This record gives sequence, structure tokens and C-alpha cells, in this order.
Amino acid sequence: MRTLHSLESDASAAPAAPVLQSRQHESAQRHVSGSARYVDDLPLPTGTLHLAIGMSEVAHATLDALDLEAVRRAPGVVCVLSAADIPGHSDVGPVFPGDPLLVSDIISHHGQALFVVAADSERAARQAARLAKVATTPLPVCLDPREAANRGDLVRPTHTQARLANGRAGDLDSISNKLAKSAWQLSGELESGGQEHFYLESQAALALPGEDDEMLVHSSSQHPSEVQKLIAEVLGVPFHAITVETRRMGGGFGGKETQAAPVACLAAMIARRTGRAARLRLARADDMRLTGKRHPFHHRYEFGVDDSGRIESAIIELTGDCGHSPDLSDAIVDRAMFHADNAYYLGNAHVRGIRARTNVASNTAFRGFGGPQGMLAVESAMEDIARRLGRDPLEIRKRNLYCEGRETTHYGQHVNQHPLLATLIDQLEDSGRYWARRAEIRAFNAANPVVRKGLALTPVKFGISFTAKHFNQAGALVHVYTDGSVQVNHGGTEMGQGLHTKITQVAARELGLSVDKVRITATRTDKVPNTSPTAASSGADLNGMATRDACLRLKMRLLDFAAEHLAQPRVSLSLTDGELHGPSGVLMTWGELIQAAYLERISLSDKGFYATPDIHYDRASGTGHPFYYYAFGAALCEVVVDTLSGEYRLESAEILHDVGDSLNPAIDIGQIEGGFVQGMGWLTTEELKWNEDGRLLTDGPATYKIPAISDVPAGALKVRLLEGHPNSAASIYRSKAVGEPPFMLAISVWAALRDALASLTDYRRAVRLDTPATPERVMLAAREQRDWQEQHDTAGAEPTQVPS
Amino acid sequence: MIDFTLNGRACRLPTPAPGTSVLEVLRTSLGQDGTKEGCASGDCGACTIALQGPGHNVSTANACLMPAHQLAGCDLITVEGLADASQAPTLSAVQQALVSTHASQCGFCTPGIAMSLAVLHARHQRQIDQGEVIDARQRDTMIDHALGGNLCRCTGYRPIREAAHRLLQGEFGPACLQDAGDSTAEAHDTAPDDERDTGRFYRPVTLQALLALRAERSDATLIAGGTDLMLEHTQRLRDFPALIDTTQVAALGKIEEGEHAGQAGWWIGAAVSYHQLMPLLREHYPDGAELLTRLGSEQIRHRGTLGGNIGNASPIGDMPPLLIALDAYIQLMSQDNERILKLEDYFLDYKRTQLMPDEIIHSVFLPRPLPNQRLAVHKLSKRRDDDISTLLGVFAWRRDASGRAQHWRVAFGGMAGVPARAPHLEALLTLQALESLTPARLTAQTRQQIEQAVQADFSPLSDVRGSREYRLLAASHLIPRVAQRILNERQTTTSLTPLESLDAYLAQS
Repeated sequence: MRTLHSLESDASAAPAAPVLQSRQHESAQRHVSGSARYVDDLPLPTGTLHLAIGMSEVAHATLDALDLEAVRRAPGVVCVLSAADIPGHSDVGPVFPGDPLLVSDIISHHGQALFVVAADSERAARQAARLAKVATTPLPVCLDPREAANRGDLVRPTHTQARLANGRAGDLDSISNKLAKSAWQLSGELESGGQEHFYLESQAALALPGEDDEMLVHSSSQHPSEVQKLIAEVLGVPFHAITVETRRMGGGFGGKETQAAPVACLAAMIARRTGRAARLRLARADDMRLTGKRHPFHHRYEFGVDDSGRIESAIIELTGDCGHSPDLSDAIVDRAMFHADNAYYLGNAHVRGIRARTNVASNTAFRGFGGPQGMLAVESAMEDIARRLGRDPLEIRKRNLYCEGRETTHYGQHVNQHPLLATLIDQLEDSGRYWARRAEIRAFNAANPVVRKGLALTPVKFGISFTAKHFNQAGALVHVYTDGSVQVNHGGTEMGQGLHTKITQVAARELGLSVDKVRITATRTDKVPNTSPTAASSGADLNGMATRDACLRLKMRLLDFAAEHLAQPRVSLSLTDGELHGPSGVLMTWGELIQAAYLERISLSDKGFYATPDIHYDRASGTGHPFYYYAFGAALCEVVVDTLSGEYRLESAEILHDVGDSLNPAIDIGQIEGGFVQGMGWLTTEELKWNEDGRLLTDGPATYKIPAISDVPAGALKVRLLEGHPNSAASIYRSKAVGEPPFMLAISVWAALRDALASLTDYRRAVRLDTPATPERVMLAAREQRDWQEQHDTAGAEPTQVPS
Repeated sequence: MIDFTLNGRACRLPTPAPGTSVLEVLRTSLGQDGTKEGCASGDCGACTIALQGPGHNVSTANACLMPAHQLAGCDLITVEGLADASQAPTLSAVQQALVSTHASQCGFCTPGIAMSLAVLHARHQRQIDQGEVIDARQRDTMIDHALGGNLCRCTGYRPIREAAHRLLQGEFGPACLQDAGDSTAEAHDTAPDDERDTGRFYRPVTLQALLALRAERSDATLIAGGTDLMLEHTQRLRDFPALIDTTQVAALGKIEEGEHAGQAGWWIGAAVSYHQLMPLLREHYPDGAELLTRLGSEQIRHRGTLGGNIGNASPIGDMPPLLIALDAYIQLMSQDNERILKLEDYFLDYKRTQLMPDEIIHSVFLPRPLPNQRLAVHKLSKRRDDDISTLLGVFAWRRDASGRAQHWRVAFGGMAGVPARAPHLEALLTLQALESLTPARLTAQTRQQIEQAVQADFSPLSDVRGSREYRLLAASHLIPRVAQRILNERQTTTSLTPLESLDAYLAQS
């Protein structure tokens, strides 16, 4: 017979600190001491096999013959599998088919997986993987999404949102007609480049075969349930045979939403075939060649504006470079379309999203999920309008913000809390001395022909919810043990964003405990099933609510029990500071309550569930309410540019961001800073290049340059949270999602670069600046501005063009 | 067997294949998983370790690029060794600083950042102990240099910088590593005296032995810091038949004053690291030292050597264009021959040099600056930290009695298959009045002349770092930059002169 745990320590428990405050990351101490384990750090069972993927050296071809003899004979090789060896499904496309786990007939991108090698060491496997003899017949390689779109080669059908300012449905003709009636017409185009996730931990999985068809797979994945599903389908076993565990990732950023699954499936296939544990961790170059990236986009826009610079009509065409297969591209191009307005009321709007197929790795989720790309066209236009009308871009941006009477998006959703946009901008304009600095910068630029400064203040509005409605659900499982300690498990995954820390705080707050009483365990498909990916910034919103639900159920049961057990009025009881409080004070400690409940056979475990209410979208009409709420932010950036070399530097970035009532200010500020700098990388130095054969040339950090420390100079980055504006939607403690929205604050860096370049024409001309705005692009744009300036009268600073 | 200490405990490692990296042995045979692999190419810093050799500063290195054989005789410190488990609190100062400032998110880069900061902390403490006064701005520069080779994808670096500042200001206590400082005694004297072959990884300690090995083992590759060569192992998966380590040869590790071709200067041994070269350049060629701070990362500068940089014959090279502009010479040596060439004559064609199979690079002769000699070094790259130059222009000139810039020597990297001089640009700079070359005065005609000179000197390729068009234009844009700089230096009031470059702006602000 067991005895109950002594509660000595429990009785002396200090009062719980307030839970919704800055608390260190739950793994911070493990991170700094090197004891935080990632998939590749797990101890390996004896006989573990090490895997490598054999990858295509051509971008588009028929696979005529795959001769793997030399691979099989290579030293240390134990097992080699190709498409024919897949026992079950061979397509691992997450939503639509198109992603073969291993190619059987058509190769559709350079670096695509053809076979998998298992050997007794990683090096042996990788060396052997290079020995295959692959016979192929070339097919035409398409790397240009516009060319693909012109040929009609799309991974998914084109979607259009068309709405007149009066709320009625419109079409291209009606909106073009209205646009032509505006006082001013502007049009432009832009190319935005993709982005490699560059999570520091590359894709990794460890498959541990169990009895019969059972298998436990450790996967560095944002979506363990999807990994479980795909492994089961690939192996042809029921889902209940497969358990997937994710303790933490070394960064995800969307790159481990779908892209983790093939790695895990290949490890599982080898484990199944050999009966031995199988580990696959992609070498950096392999990871960069094999996995998808942020979608490059081509943006085309036409705006009709009035004399004050107010948009009356907009036609925006967004062509996403989806790579060779659909993957998540349908939803990503949709989200680009949902964000084509950014923070501005478009009036009569026609937004079209094209999903082009090219022969590169299938582009995939990346923080912002198409939203950042969607915003670029309208933000580009803001500067175009300003220069055309001889106004300051901030004036144009403010004039176009959603406001009373102009508060419905081009897909028909009312923008809740839209006045926050003006609040954010006004506060930054003031605290950042926008107009004084504008004058200082003009004076500086007048004195310096080479070194120029630029300034920009840009807003962000980002819709929160998965646009795939069924993903907006979450589960949690909470156990209380008889020593009073609490174990929480939920469907979200930890990739560094501090989700587990926030969830711990939610559970502690609901149960009236200090956070050290609560432990989060690894995300596992056998604890909380059928979960959604940790994506769309939704981790804390969904799983926080599910955890709260579970905790509330437990608390209700415990208080019901206590009322009866102690003969106290139920309504007078509460759990705070690790104690049960009644009408006359403390009745018992949390631990005593738990042990009493246990002895009276009260269940000390419960599960919670949450589904986001009120969201819907009708594709046929292109209207609906796809987002539960919006998150807002604004950034004021100053840059300094060497216009002869194209070198530039961020001088300062002041950010004010709306997270509602913050769950953890330190973590939220970390998300904002990190998102901003990652966004700056996307728009500045992170350049992906392929050769004409479709081989990725930038396949490592030697050539692919993410921001480094001096790109964020000392004191340059100042982030504040907007205070006193709780979420108007009933989210977890009225907080707001924070993972993605800050990424787009970096658009202010790009806008500031364009502002500096505009100075070369006395602010009379906006220059096209494709992204990433590398020093090369900046220098060539500066050259174009200088040439224009030389050709135009420099005497007057008035706009040279008249309204048409 | 390779003997070294790991976090203070004696460690004896069975000899691995030549080229096996410290990272590989840490994570496999030694079971130390705290040190992470992010790229295995020395560009991300996740595998940063600290090393202390006899008589050497504690320094950082990328474990992924360091051959395990070079651990022999070293004290290796990994993230697991930062905290003394017997002490309370169980986290070291650097670790407490990172936790307190919320400086880790996913945590994967964190061990490497902790190591870089721990070494910075030790070095900073030594400097303070030696009576140096370091202000906040200098600390920022030290932090930038120490962490330029550690990528973080999550935090945006602000909290990491805060951790570094508070750490250096002593908020979390003393440094957990000790920096003895480079001893004046010759480090290599303590190296083993036998010519050891540890599993086809040769570590000769005398020049004679090195030259003999070079002659005997035609299949072997010379290795020094390994910061470039090791990519053959980690990226191209090449198994080296044999490696000959030049770093234990005392003669190659020295900087000695000397004379050559009638000039006074320094003979710099091929195995001298960038880090060791820094004080000399700081004193005599500060612009060259600035370039050095942007060559690779701190981890690379600690390990990479001048001889390796020249030996790998990169078309960019960073050091060769500087040395060519400074009229440097290279000394090559074999068992029965020795020759000294002008460095500009050493490079023949893409990755092809004068070096014969039985030769080694012994040293480089760097002349002392002449009276009135000036130097301008302009490195253009996509990113400021730890990036290979898209192009590098080095301009050396002398002011004559009237203050005119004369005797131009201009060399470029990244513009051709080899680092090379730009004779047409040199001629143009000699003939044109500098005033006519400044950005404000430049006419379309002069601009065209510059562009024609650049095109006469170079026909660059388009590659992953930049297009041919950009390289040609950017190179020609360096001429007005240099002209303005020279004129600005003549001005007594700096506030009214237009800034010639971003670097000038940053230096002023």
C-alpha cells in the first residue's frame, strides 16, 4: 500500500508571484548550460543507423533509372530504400498531393529526394549517397513564376477578392472604370525574394521501432500530429501505432510545419525495414536544397487616389512562386491577399492571387505566411503616391488608415480596434520626433552627396486565426499528482517562442499556484491527439485557452469537493497563493486539498478543449470573417545609406506594438525584436540565388547572409508594448498573438531605404527597389535616381507630372 | 592517441582519421552534446569552443573547422565546462547574464554565444586588470567583434548585447575563464619535440621535418588553421589521405623585423594567425587592421593564418589585395630551394599559383610604411560581419612635398580570378586632379574615364555575391570615395566636408 507524499515543503510554500509577468523561458537555464536536448542530442540505442538522403542533381527530368549498386556496396551501408520500397502512401503533400516522399518518375526540383541511405555512421551514409548513378531525360526547367503563370502552370487555381467601396461585389471592369476616374493613377511592380528559414537546428528525426507495428519518433516538428499521420500512411499502419514526440525545436519559423514530416517518414521507413533505431539530421546544405522557403512574389499594382492622396480604388495582382507543388501555397497566397491592404482602406478593390509552379523546392510556411509579401505592394504605393503628390509618405499613410466609415476590408471583414492604428502612429510620431528628424535628415542630405539618410514610419495590421478553419482548435491535458505538483501537456510545440512558458503561467494562474509547481512535458501525439500545427501565431491563443479549460474543470471539481468536504459555502471558496481560501481565511494548502481529494476518490486529471468562435470565409464570394481579431504595430526606422557603394546601416528602430494585455512582456518583446530583425533580413541581405539549371547557389551561411549582431547596432532597437488596450476579442486573458505580426514591422527599414534613395531626386521620384534590397540593388537604384535627376530640371522641387 | 584536457579533466582520444573535426569527436566519441552543429562550415558559431594552449590567450574556435589532432596539448573548454558544478549558483556569470536578459529563445545558438561571451569576458577582465579604461562605445565594438561569428535567428541580438554589457560591467561576478595573455615565451617551445605522425596527421615541429614531409608525402595536404581547408572534409566529404600541420613549426609562427629589397619591414611567418597579426597592423597600418576585424569572425581570426589565406589562392582573399598594395613579398621554400617573389607575381590564375608541389609558404615580407604613405581599404560585402568580400579595393599612395597624392598602388580582390593590381586606375589617379574626382565635381566624362579604366583592368564574373555590373560600378565608385577622403583629410574643419562613405559616417558618429 502506498503512502502519500509528505507535504512539508508544501506547507511553507511562499505566496505565488503574480503569474502574468516577465518570466524567464522555461528552458533558459538548460539553454545556457548546454543541457537542453534537441532531437540530435538524444542518447542513441545500440545499433542506431545514421541516414542520408540521395538528392537530385537536376531540376526537371524524368527519372529513367536509379542505379544504387555503388551506394549499397559502399563501406558501412546497411540499407538503401527508394520509392518502390515505400510500403504505404508515397505522397506526403500536407493538403493537396504533389510531394513524393521519394521520386519515382518525375524529378521536379534540384535537390529533390530520390533515395535514402542508412549506414553505421553519418559520414558513411552521406558519402554513399553521392555514389548513385541516376539516368534522367531532361524536361524544360522553369524558374520564373510569371512565365509559369502566363503558361497557366499553376499549383492551385487563382483566387480573386473584388469588392466595391459600397460593399457590393465588383469585378475587374467595374473597378478599373472607377480607378480611371480618380484624380491620380499610379501603377508599379515589384519583385520580392524568398527567404530561407535558417533555423539553427536543421531538420532532424529519430525513429525508435517498438513492438509489432509500433514506433516512437522524435521529430523536430511544429506539427507532430501531421508527422504521425504521414508516418502511419507511409508505413501503412493505423495512426494509433505511431507516437510522435517533440520536446523543443532549435527554431522553426514555419520551416518545420510541413517540411519536418518527410525527414521523419524516411527515418521511420528505415527503422521499420531494419528493426533498428534510425536517425536523420540534414546537413545544412542538404536542408537548404531539399526544403522549401518563403515564397518569392511578383507584385503588380494600380491605385486611383484623390488629390489628398487618399486611395479610392486599388487593383493588386500577387503572383506567388510556389515551387513544384502546392504544399501550403493555397493558404499562403490567400493570406497574402488578405493582407494586400495592410492597414489601409482600399475603397474599390480587386485583389488577385496567382499560385505559379516552378522547378524549385516547394515553397512553404514562413513567419507571416504570405502576409508580409501581401503588404509590400500597398506599402510600395504609399511612397509612390507621396512622391507623385509631393507629400511626406507618413502623411499619405495616415490619410489611408482604416478609420470610422472606412473600416471594412476588401474581403468584407470589419476591422475591430482599428483606431489603434492611429494611436500607434501618433505615439511614435511624437516620441520619435518624426517631423524634427525629417528636417534634420533633409539638412544632412543636402550637405552630403554620397551618404544619405532615410526615415520611415510604417504600420502593421495582421489577421489572427488559421484561414483553414478546422485548425482553430486545441486540446490540453492537465494532471495533478498527489504531492501537489502539476503536469501540463498541450498540442502546441516549443520552438523558442516561449509558448511553454506562457502555458505554464496560464495553468499556474488558474490553479492559484506558483509557476514552479507546474511542469510542461514534451508535446506528444499520445497525450493530446489530433492537434493543429503550432503556427499562425496561434500557439498561446489556442493552447492557452485549452489549458485554461482543463484547469477550470479541475478547479471546479476541487472546489465542489472542498465545499462538501469542509462544509463551506461553495461560492466563498477560492484557490490562490497555493492555498484554499474560505470565508474566514486559509482553509488548507493546495497539497492538503489534493491529498484529501485523492483519498476521497476525486479525479485529479482533466483535459481541456478550445475552438475559436465566429470565424468563416466564403471562397466563392471572396468575403467573410476569417480572423478572430487583428494585431497591430508600428515602427519608425532611420537608415543611413552610402549611395555609391549601396552599403547601408540601420541607425534606429523604434517600435510600438499591440499585444493586448501581455501574457509575458519579456517574451513578447523578444518575439517583436526577433521578428523585426528576421524581417529586416528578408528585406535586406538574405538573398537566394539559383543558377539557370535550378541549382540553389546560396546553400549555406557562407553565401546566405542572415542578420548578424552589428546589423542591429547598440541602442538602435527600442521596443515598447502598447499599454492599456486589451484585446476586444475574448482571447486568453485579452492578450494578442505575437509570433508573426512584428515580422512586418521591418517593412519600415525597406521604406526608409527608399526614402534615402528618394533624396537623390529631391524627393520627387520614388524608385523601384526589389527585395532583398542588397547593397547591389541599393547602389543600382541610387544610380537610376541620379540618372533621372540629371535628366530633369533640378531648379524646382515641385512634382513635374500633372494629374492625368 | 591525442591527449588534452576537456573542461579541466585529462582526456585521451583514440586517433581519428585525418580531418576529423573537434565537433565530430565531441558529439560522438566524447558524448558532449552541448556544442551544437549549425552549419559545419564555420559561419554560424553554434559550435564555438574555447581553447587555451601553452602560453596562449584563451581564444574561441569553431569546433567544426578544427582538426581534432590539433587538440593535442590544449585545454578545451565547452559549454558544459563553464559552470563549476560544486559552486553555488550553479550557473557561471556569463550564463546568469544570458538568463537574466532573456537572451535565449530556441537556445540552439546559445551554447556558442555563451562561449564567445565567456572568452570576451576573460579578455576584458585582463585588460581592466592591466589598467586599461574601456568605455561603453569601446565595449560595443568589442562585443560586435566577439559575437560577429555567432548567428542567432530568434532574438534579434538586442538582449544578447545587453547580457554582454552587463557581464562586462561586472554585474554577474568575475569571468569564469582565465586569460593569461600571450606569454612572451615562445609558445611553440613547449610543443612535443618528436616529429609525430598521429594517424596520417603529421605535426612536425622543425622546419627541416616539415620540408622533408612535404617532399615525401605528395599525397598530403598542408593544413594550418584549417578554416578553409576543413570545408573539404565537412562539405565536400573528402577524406584526406594525409595532412601536414604547419602550426607547430616555430619558424612559421614568428613575426620578425627584417629587410628585403632595400626596405625595412617584417617577416611574418605563414602560420601566424590573423589574431596574432592584429597588433602589428594596428600600430603600423590601422586601415589594414580595420579590414582584419571584418575578415571572417573572431573564431576564424583566432585560427586562420596568413599563409593559409595566401595558400588557398582565393580570388578575393582579403589579405592578398592589401599585401599587394603594400608591395609585399612571399618567401617559398623546399628542401633544396628557397625563393622570394613579389606577392603580385605569385598568383597566376584562378586557384593557380607559383607554389610547387614540394614547396611551402614560409613567410611574407611586409614593408614598413614609408614616410607620408597613406592607405585606404574598402571592403564591400552583403553583410558587414563575417562575410566574404564581393569586392575589395586597396589604395596605397604617398603624399609628395606639395601634398599631392602620388605613387599609387591599387589592388583589388573579387574582380578577377586572382587578387591583382589595377594599372589603369593607378595611372588615372596619378594623372587626374583629385578635386575633379570627388562625388560633387565628377562630370559624366570623368565618370566614364574611371569606368573605362576599371574595365581595362578587370573583367569580373557574376556570381552569388554580386553581378559583373555591380562589381564594375562599385569598383569605379571607390575612386570618388578615395578622392573625397584625401581632400577631407586635408581640411582642417571636418564638419563642413561631405562624408565620402558610410565608414566615414560611422567613424564620425
